[in-house]
Amino acid sequence: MDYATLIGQATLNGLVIGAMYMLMAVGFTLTFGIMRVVNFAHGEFYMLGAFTAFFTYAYWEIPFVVCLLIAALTVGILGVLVEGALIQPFRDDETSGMIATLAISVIIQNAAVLIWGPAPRPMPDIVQGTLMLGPFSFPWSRLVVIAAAVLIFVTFWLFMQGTRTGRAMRAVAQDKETALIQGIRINAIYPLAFGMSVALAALAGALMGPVFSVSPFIGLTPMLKAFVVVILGGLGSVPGAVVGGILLGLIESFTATMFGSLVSDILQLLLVIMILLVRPSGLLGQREY
Amino acid sequence: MDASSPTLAKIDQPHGIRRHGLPMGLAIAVLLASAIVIPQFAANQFYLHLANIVLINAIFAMSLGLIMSVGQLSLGHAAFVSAGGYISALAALNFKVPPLLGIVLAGLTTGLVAAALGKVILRLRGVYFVLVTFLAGQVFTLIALNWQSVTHGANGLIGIPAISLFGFPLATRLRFYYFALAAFVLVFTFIWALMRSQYGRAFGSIAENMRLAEASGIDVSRYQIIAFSLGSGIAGGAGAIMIHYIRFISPDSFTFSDSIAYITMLVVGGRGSLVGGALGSLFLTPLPEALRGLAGVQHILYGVILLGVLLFLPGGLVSVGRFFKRGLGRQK
Amino acid sequence: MSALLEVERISRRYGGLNALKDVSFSVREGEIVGLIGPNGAGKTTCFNVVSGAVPPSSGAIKFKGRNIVGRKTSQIVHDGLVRTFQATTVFPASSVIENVLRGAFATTPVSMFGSIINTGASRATLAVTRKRCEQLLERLALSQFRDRKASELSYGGQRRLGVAIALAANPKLLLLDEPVAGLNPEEAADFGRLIRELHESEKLSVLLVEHHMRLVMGLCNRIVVLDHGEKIAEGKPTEISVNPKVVQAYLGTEVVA
Repeated sequence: MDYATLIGQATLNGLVIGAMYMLMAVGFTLTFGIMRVVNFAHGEFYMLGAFTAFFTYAYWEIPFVVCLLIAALTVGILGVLVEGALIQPFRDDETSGMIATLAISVIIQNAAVLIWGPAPRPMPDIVQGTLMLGPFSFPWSRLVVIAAAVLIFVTFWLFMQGTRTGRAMRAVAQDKETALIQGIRINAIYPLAFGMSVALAALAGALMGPVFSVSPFIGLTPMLKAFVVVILGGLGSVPGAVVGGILLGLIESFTATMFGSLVSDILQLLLVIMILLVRPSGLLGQREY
Repeated sequence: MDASSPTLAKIDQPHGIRRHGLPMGLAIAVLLASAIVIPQFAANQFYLHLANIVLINAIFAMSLGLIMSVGQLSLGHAAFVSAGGYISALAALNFKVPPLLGIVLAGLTTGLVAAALGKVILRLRGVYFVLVTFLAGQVFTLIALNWQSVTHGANGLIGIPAISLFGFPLATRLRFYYFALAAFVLVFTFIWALMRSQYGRAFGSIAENMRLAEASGIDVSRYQIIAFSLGSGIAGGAGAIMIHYIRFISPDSFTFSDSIAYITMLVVGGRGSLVGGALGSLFLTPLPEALRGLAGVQHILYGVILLGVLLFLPGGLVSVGRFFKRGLGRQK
Repeated sequence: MSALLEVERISRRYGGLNALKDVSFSVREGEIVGLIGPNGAGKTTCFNVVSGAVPPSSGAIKFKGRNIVGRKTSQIVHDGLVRTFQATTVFPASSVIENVLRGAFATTPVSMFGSIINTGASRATLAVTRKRCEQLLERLALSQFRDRKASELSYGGQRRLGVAIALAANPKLLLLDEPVAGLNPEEAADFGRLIRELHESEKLSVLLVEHHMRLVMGLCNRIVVLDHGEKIAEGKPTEISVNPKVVQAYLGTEVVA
């Protein structure tokens, strides 16, 4: 095994998981930025997205692009309902809101075990073949994940910048009081933001389904990484989530190649603690209060 | 943190205890006496075992409540429980340290680790704290799983000795019951005294209005670290007690879902009260046993109960009692 | 008279913005100093920097001759520099007397360990504090509400409680952040009298940030005027009200009474 292959491999893997972390972290940071809600069920929506893709793609053999849309829509709508019924009541109580999302996470995960069983299910690749570039070889299945994640993020970004709803969301995130005065209806924005956030998680899950496998327990790790990313990038900061996500993916891939995944995970936590010591609000975040 | 969430320290109302002095004292005496006497007559092994777990779980929940009394939510509580368990187990297995000493050692070590971790992370208030305790818990599980040479990985540690008092091993459920009861009473009394003291006053101030607490000369981060360290240390000690009873520990013994279980107990029992944690354990610990036939539903039910209490009974079961008491008071 | 508080050339930048630029002033013992200026002049920033809530980008703040920049707020309170908050700030779910007892936390010299096991000494100390707090409530006309929840008090009542909490910390210098904002004229006048009384009876020095011109003019020995983050004038109320720079800064915004 030569270094070039190793480096190429590590970079590609890093970008794939980095793209996933980016989508997870952007969604996670969105709910926090807009609603001040820390969603501990974020990983379960990832899992639901993966299962949706699994059934629509592997069972019903619907084209994958359509599968992605179905995953985003069903999970997004579920998110809107969950927000309205179970998160809205805790709008002024951050701690209770956090505990509520923990409860939601427990319920979704165990319901998934009950319905689909605990065993992991492999999923077929979306595309076959590899791209050869000099000494490097890249499987198309991975490249597609990266391209799709970038496309999804760009769409999300355009939505936030270009549409009325997106601008309203940003206004709420920046200053809730002023947004209220300007006549922005928080009661419409919050469920929508939550739905969008978990739809992003579902898309990440659907994209990663073929890369890893699908089981009720797959949500934990991506959520954990989303935490690391938002701490690195600053809670509530979308650019921070993007930079942090890709950075973390690369760091993880390289350290795992060099030292194994356990050391990699521990290094990541140490990194988080160190960064928090130097910059308590993350690399790109703004100071709270 | 927000002012609306109830906190433990609010039980420190001046004259509270003294005003209800006699009936309260009587109730406690009766409760304690029956806790001591009943097992002598009804020595059903299964119920005894359940009672033991209820008592230890109550300590876990109450210690978590101590951390929450400064407005902090720890998602790494089970990791401290587990760490305490491993420390005492390893000390006993490798160095023949008597379990009683091991328990103290476990409590001190986990408390110190929490203090060190707290120094780093408590500068990050609220949400960051929660996230980092969560991450720290996960990393702990990873280490326990992978440090094969010491922890034996997923196989765990077997043959952990029972606690022995003056050369008298607490190897039966009944004997351990009295030890667990004593530990429970000790922890309960300690936290009660703490909450009644100037510490409790500082804790309550911080939970209710952090900025005003700081402006009143209360060193917020200092007291948050104290609460986190004490709560985690108690959890570590109680974790050690638990594994000297179960006589086994593995990385799966105490996991993130146990952290959630402790939170559930605390919230269901009542976050604003010391009795809350105990009450929550009393209700929720036997639940899995009652649901034996319905494997899998158990966790869902935990989640549903937690959500239901948050939504419809934010003060927890304790507030039901208070509600009735107030009702009676009005009728007089 | 020696200077109790010396603010030496403090600046505070937010991003590229100079919220405060080279501001110097002092408060002497037994003095009431007003800090005024039109909206956005940097009063609140100045207040936050002086009280230790926000560190200055540069400059020094000395309290009783000792630099307090970088010290913890809680330590600064121990030294005797105590602030109130602009918005009504109390411990809402606790009783009124408990609110004041919490304010007195820093000035209740019990050993924490003694307090846990509730020794006689700690009980005695607490009894002294409790008595002092009861007197404070009396003084601020809050005695009748002592066992009520703070959130049940009227707006004006919560304001007075806020001051009681601050006074419980035995300040040498009290920083008041717009204490009468939102109060009706009668309540505001009462508040002014209260501050004057406390000033006279407790030898309390006060730094007052306020919009309410009549209050400031009537109460203060000296006034510091900020505009666009810089000090533009300082002097006695009579001098300030005719200072052309001040009049211009306020032109069209408020009438200097």
